[in-house]
Amino acid sequence: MPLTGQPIPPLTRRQLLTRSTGLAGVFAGAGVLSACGSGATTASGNEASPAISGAQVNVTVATSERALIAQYTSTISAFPQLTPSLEPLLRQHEEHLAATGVEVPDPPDQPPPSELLVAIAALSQAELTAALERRESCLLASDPDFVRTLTFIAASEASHVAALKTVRQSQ
Amino acid sequence: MNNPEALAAAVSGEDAAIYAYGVIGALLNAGPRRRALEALRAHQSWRERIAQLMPGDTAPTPAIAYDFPMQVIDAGAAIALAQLVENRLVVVYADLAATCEGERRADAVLAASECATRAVVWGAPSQAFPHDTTST
Repeated sequence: MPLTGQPIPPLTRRQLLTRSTGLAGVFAGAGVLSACGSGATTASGNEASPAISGAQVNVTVATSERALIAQYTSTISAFPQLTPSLEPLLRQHEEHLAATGVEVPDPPDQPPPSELLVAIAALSQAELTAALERRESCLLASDPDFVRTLTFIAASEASHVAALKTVRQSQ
Repeated sequence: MNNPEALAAAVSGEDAAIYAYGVIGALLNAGPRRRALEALRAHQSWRERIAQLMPGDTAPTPAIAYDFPMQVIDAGAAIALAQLVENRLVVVYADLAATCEGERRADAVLAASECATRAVVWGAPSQAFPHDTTST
């Protein structure tokens, strides 16, 4: 079995969010790893516009992302030692919010729990809730590109729960 | 709406993951090996679940072997391969979610979330839009 695969073409973030099933071609053959001897790629070039549809779903997601951003911001402010761990997650929520293309107002200020580990647990719970909400939003959305985007966001937020577990264990 | 190509890509992706985890597990010990075996079982389960959505015997069959985009000869490379496979599968399942509806779409989102979570548990950094960053 050859151990070295074919070079994989670069994938921009826009392509990631907008490509249709032709993306499997970007990943060559099987979509995850190419079968030995297959050698074939099937990139279709079937690229849709970065459409976001479903105004109400958009607002729901944007409002939730804004709340998460506020929670991370207040937690980082209260526990600045967590900045290196939490700031990347905060930035990712800002990207999620930007992907909705919707502006929503900031939620009312809500101070984080006074104990660090409790504050991390609260973030973890919020991420878990968000991941489940995003899955529900996926079922309400109709535009395939928006469904894809929401799937990425749901996956990201589910992974944040694991990331926060590591943060908690390191304290 | 149900894209046979996206279903086939998910089945093939799971076949590749199952193959990869066989190699990954062989290169790891103790806790990480157990984690690899758990992941292997999860991928086998998703493979069967997705294949059942395809009519008749239209589900693709696994390849005998798969190319890895890097040499996988030690534990570090095995863990890197696990991260890569999981993050690539997130994209495969996002494609699947976009082409189906209802419970199938919910399953695709759940599968994508599980893959993204495993990638992070294997030490990959979390991402706003999880995918294999070694190809970007």
